[in-house]
Amino acid sequence: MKKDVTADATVVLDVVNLVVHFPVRRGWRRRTVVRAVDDVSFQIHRGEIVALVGESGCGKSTIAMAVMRLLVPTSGNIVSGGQDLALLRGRKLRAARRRLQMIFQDPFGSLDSRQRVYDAVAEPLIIHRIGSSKSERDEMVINALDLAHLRPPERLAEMFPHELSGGQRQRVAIAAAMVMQPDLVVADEPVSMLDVSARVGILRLMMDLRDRLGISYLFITHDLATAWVVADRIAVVYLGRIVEIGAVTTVVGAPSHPYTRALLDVTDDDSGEQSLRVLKGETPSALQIPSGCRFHPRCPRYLELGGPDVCRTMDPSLDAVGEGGDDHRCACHFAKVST
Amino acid sequence: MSSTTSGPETSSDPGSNVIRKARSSVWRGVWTDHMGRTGVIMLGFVLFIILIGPLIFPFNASAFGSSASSILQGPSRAHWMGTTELGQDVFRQFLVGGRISLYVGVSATVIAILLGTGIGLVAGYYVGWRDTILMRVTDFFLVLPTLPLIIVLAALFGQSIVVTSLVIGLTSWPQTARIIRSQVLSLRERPLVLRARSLGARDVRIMGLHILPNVAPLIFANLVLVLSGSILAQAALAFLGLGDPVQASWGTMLHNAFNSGAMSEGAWWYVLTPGIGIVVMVLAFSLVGHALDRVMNPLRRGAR
Amino acid sequence: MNVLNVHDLSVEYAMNPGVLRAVDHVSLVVESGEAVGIVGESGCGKTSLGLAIPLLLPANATIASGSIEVSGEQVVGRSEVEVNLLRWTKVAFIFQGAMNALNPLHRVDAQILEAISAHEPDVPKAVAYAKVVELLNLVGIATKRARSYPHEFSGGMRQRVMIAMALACRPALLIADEPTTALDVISQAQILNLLLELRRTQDLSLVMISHDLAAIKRVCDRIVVMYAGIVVETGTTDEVLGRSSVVASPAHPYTRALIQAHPSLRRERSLSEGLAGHPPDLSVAIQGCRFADRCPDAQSLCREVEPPTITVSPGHSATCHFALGEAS
Repeated sequence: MKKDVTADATVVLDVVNLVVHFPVRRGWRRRTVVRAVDDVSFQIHRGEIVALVGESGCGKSTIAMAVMRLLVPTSGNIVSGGQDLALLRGRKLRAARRRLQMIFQDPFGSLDSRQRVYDAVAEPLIIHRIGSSKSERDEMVINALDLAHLRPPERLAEMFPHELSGGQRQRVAIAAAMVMQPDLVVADEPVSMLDVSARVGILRLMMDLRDRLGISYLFITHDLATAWVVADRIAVVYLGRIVEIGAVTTVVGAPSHPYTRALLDVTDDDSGEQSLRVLKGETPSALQIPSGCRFHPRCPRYLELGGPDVCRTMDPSLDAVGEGGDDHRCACHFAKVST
Repeated sequence: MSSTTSGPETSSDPGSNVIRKARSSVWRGVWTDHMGRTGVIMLGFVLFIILIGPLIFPFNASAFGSSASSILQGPSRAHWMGTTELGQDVFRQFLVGGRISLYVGVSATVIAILLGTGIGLVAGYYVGWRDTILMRVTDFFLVLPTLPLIIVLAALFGQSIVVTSLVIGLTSWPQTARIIRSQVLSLRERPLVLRARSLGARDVRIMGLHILPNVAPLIFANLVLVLSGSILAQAALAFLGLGDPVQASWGTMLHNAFNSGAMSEGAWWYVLTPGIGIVVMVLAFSLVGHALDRVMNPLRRGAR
Repeated sequence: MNVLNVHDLSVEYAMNPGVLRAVDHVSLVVESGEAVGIVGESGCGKTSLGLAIPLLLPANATIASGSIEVSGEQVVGRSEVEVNLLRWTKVAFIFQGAMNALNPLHRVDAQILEAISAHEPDVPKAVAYAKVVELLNLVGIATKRARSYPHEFSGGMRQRVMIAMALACRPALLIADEPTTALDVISQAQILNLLLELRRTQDLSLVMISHDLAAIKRVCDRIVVMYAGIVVETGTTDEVLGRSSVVASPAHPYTRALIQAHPSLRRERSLSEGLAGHPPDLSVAIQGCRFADRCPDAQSLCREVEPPTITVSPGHSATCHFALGEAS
């Protein structure tokens, strides 16, 4: 259901019916399509952290790339700051980028190893011509480094990425994102390549910055437990579609979709039994998305109910479930709150 | 693995340290490689002969012999490498001729590298239709035969080192373009380029600031190999008589030797001197180039 | 007889100049049928320890001291030919990212067949092939998929193929280095279940190297925590990590921090303190406890004197001055 977003000033990002299909050539003549993102809609409010959770290949990273306009969506709207990013080009797009920043998964690969920390953080300022003098830019860079707990900032600014640990490099990436004072930061698996003990520091920093500066996050992760501690709302993604979305306590505490349930089962580190209830089979390729509900071939609920036709033939829409109103939604014909 | 960043042992100027270390490790990489070391030594020798030689050895290259008896004379005290069919001193010609070969080689290489890098960079970065068109142009120049082209151009514009340099340059750039393009294709997918794009950096900035410095080592290694190929090409063209007749290069010497029937006359000094010169120079650059490629090729460098 | 007995092992890497001691006087015992998990973060030496056991260390690494006994046979100091007889037959190793080590040009059954023929050349082809199919079935791959190419399999299935290959000669000990990293959470759970089942049905001893505490908790009986090249804690997983009925009682501050750093769905939605800094540079000599500069409870004693290994309870020990609550 489309809302009138331009009226709601607290919405920082409104993604409506986003579709990203990649044309692919199979064999000599046959042309087919990878439906990486297949009609995804969600909103992020000011100061909110929304997590997109799913397995690799489910489309969550593609959604992030689409929001950042690193690729052109096939269709749909990406509304932010009163503009539809999907339609912007050239100078207008560049101007719009000032309010959206991204943090990447690979702390080493995302920083140019030939640039000092100072240059990496100052780059957005130079690109957008912010700061009327070098000393003004210097001050902004030092502030950003300090904000990211890289101290003493003057000394760290002179270092090269390979002299820093993984955690420090991610902090540089965060500083570079913060220097522009963005409205939204898209973080694509920002901690999965870091040591476990370094992760906490980064997550804490991100949440701190949200509390202090009111920055919103679109947090991509495959780890439900990380989403649990960081996010306000969770959207569970499967094969290009959001199958469940809601407040994190609701989705984790009372999941409605069987896939969410399956993810929770394997993430729960203390289920009591040694051998877990694990979903069978593999996620199908995005080239051959199952008919009807894309989850039905693996769905335990489908089997329990004796294989109802509707699951095979009709694609369920993301409908409200439970008493949360529009807040908690699930894409299942037989959505019900399970324990 | 990350290094410690706290404590007094961290250098106050890490940047220059890094660059210094990188340069010395390249040098070390080339020197420790047997081929590389041989190439460097040979190169040093050749360059010494060419650049310093004419200043030290005061023979006059064009001075003609005074009598018929000074034609095609073998090595002697007066003429270390004998004389040509015109009585000129072979050794002196050798010293001077090397410069021409090198000059043409360098000019051709500059043309090839500039064109090749520029086109490879644009094709690899933009992909899509720009890439397709540029690659077709590259293919065209790739199959362009050097010999007929220079004959035609020589007929139109006369034989000169400018024409020779141009032709060799125009037929050498495609291989550079392909190498650079494939490296750029892989670089553009790296997170650092994605990040630059996400910041709103213009393409030109990304290509110049992020991609070009990262392909620079590859360009450098390729440059040396193209140089060796260009020198050989120039020698071959000169040998066939298409070189600059006024500025005699080693290839021209061979051409003259051949024409004057030096071989049948047994004047081995006239053929071997420029011949060995060409082989040594080309081989030297080639060995160094291969060693550099081995050291700098990012595929071999591996992950951190 | 213990399936594995590592005693006082040290592994050094030649740096330019000097050496880096990645594993420093580490001892480890694996009893028959046991599953031991080695946990630690990058640079702690767990991979070097794992690679040392079948002598698969890279060229610039040497075993500086200690002994390794696999099923009673000494490994250190033996020739390559002799050790080769032990590899795959007594101890098998699954490398990190092994699922990507399959040859893309050969079918999966051919690759496992190759592994069998290499170590048991006298076995007739028909018998060997039957074994290949049996192994694939054992790891949950249907017979009809045996003739597939690696790229036709998902990451999880390729990892199963690697496990099948490792079990080809029925080794007593399987060493798996990060067997579930780079897999989806559901595939991870499938692989862990498989490992559990194999332990049960094949009488297999397991050494699992991982940075993931949850995976080790699920599969292993005992846990060995490594930090900066040494063992800082060892004990049963029940005691160190806890279980639904048992409260976790880690004795080393690093283990405590590691447990805290793993976000858990069971706990409240808050982040722990986390650990500032990073592991020490092992090419430089360290005075006192290696963990001292990151330890929230460090005292001056810790920075001066190297901590002893203290037994906290039977089978549970920690290398910390304050393992029992006060300095010993």
